[in-house]
Amino acid sequence: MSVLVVDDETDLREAICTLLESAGHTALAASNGREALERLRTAGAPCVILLDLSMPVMDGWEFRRVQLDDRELAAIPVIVITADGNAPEKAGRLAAHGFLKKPFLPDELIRTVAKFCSRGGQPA
Amino acid sequence: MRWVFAARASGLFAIAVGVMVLCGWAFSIEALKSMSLDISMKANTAIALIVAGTSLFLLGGGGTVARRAGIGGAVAVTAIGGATFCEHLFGWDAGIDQLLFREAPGAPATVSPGRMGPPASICFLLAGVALLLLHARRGTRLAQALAMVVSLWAMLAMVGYAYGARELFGVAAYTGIALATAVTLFVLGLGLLAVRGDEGFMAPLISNLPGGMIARRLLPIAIAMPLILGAMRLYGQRTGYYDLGFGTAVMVVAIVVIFTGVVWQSAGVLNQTAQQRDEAQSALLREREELADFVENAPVGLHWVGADGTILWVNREELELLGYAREEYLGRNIVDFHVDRDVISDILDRLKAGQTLRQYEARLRCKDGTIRYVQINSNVRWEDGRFVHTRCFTRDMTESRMAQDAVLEARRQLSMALTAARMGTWSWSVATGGLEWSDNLEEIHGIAPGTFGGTYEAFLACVHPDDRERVDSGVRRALEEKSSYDVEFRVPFPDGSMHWVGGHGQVFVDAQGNPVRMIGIGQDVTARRQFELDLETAYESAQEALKVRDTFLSVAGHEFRTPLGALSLTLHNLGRRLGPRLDDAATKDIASLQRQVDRLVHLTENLLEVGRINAGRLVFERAPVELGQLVADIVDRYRETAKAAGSELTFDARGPVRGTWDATRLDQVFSNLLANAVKFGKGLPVEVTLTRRDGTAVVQVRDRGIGIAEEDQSRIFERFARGASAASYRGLGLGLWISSQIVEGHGGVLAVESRPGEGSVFRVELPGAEGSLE
Repeated sequence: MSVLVVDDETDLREAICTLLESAGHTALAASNGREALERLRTAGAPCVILLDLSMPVMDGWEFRRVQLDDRELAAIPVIVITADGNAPEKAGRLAAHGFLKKPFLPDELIRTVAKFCSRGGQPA
Repeated sequence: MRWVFAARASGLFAIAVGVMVLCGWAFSIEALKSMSLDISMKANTAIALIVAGTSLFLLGGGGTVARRAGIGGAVAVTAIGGATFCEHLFGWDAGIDQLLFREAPGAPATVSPGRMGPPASICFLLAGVALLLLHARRGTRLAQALAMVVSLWAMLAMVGYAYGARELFGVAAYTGIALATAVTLFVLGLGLLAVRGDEGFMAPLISNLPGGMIARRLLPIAIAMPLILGAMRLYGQRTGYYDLGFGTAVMVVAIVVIFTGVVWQSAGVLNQTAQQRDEAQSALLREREELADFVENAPVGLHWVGADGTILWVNREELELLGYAREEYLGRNIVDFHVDRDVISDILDRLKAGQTLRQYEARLRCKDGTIRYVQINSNVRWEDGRFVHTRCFTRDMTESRMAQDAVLEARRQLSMALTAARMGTWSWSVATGGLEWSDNLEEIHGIAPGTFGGTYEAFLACVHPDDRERVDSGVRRALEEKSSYDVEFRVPFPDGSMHWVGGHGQVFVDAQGNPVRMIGIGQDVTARRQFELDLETAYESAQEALKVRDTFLSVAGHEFRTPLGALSLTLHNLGRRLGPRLDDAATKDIASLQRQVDRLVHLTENLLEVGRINAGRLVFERAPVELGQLVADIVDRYRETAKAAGSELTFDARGPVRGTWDATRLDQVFSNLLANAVKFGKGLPVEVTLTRRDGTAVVQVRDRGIGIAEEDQSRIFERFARGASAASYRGLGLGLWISSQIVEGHGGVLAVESRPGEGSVFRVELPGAEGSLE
């Protein structure tokens, strides 16, 4: 199964995808909430979503609300990635499954994702 | 006056006798002419008596006319007496004897018809001369001597009549004189003696001194007693009681006895008088001594000064006041002792002009050179318009003057202090409502000098309307509670500017505890108020600036995070992807890039942390932590870095130490301490130990590096502080500050022990530790 990376910062999004793929995951990228929803409907459910909060078109908060309202999508775990302070508090409010504070170390990312996805796209 | 009265009376007596006799001649009444005796008074004698009596009467007083008439009378009497005496002397007949009335020849004791006898003519001649002298106010003694001769001569004739010695009055050519003439001339002579009784020979007799008194007592006896004794002797002898020898002996003894008695009595009187005088004199002397002693010892300085300023007399007090000996003061000029020449010359001028000086202020110079302030009361003793001496009272005013000066000085100083502090004093009588202000209060309240109304209401009128209620209630509360009043209020000035005044007062109560007076100060506090206002504004804008700074740091920090994250991951990916194909130099460059990115990340996080701490938003996510594992992981993480710096990193922890702490934050603290130890460790071993002491976990990081100077040890925990010089080591100097904030946030302590050149030990103490090992 894949990992969906939702972030409007292209460089960061692509670096994360590259890192994930180098760790053996399949990475799907979306630059905002709406794109992420389209990806989910076309590509099927990933094992985890890495979700930025501040994004144009549809931000992370809106995306999470829509996701939770959608019975098919609601169960997909979400890791909040944010540059804001109070990442733990925000993650709690979004009922997310974890958080990564930007800038995070490659190992942190790999360790966190590994909790939800087995290598080769299988759940751990 | 008594004597003049007697003189006039005798003059009138002579006139009366003369007129009576002239009537006898005019109407041929023999009894009037001769008093029923055989010898008659001549008409010329009567005329002379009238004229002499008138002249004598006029001596008693009157104008120029009276005097001329008196002199004319005197000349006439002299002429009548002198002419008649010449007729007797040279046997002439001047034809004056019967000018008025004719007399039959052969009258008894008469040389020629109508001619008065020799005694009367001589007496008139002498009396006339005496009258002339008296009228001319010359030769009083001579006039009195002539008058005495007249009286004695007349008395001789009277005694002749009394004793029946006809030789003494009845011999025509020598002694012929009528009894009335003799008596009247006797009285006339006494009158002439009396008219200037207080002068010449008469003066001792009428004096009030003992001599005069004795004389007046003795004289009647001396005159009357021999006459009476003589008459008694004659009577006894004629009636045949005793013969001449016996009579004379009795008379002589009687005279001796009477005179002895009179002398004895007079001696007693004189002695008594002398004794009284002596007593009076010694009483006077004692009084004088007492007075002199009183004045000498009076507690006020006294002196006398002559018209030329010479000191004539001085008392003890004045000498003691100025410190001079008597001989150094007496005889000198008072001017020498006055400090101010113009003052003493003014004093002397005033005194000479007859003024009395009262409390005249002057300065005197003492012997030791000091100056005394004195008050002088003085005036001059005059005798018949002559300046005798001054009587000067000198009162020492130096002490009161100095006290007065001190009070003035203190008042001046207070005034200066008040002015300098832009302050004034006030005093309010609660009972009368009168409010007194010192001068500068008006200026402070924006009122023109001298225009303050002097009442509480006038003061309230100066206060800004919005502050009046506050000021008034402050004053009323102070009165009710008998306490103090302390209010700052606004005062609008006429020019529109607003000023602040600080009023402070204290209530004073009477014996019953009722407020009677309130005194206090008012101070212009406008400048302070303005300063406070400025300070407040400055503080607010500084706070605002700080907030802006923190916001900026926070925003900037957060904005850095995303590109840093991308940079870091990209670099990582690049390293991985190119790893096998890179040569050593490129690998090193990639590692260097990675380190610098890490450092940027670290700096950014520190800045954000400062912002959080400043804003009080440092939140701890407490969770159970095993400190040994946490520290071991961090030590492992830094092992490579330490090795690169040449330091061996060791960790000694015996068993687990558990507590509920924020693991992430503590990671920050220990990472910071380890990074510092490696950075300043000079490549020498760094030891980390973990122990537990009671409920406190203790982590120590020891290096053997450059150490920290003692004066820097407390400073390194401040913001932006660095132990080493800024030039040698870069960094923001935030690490230790953030670490200590985190440790203190856990209720713990971060401390340091260090010696320059020997290394440092940083110790973290965290409360709430549990575990198995010590």
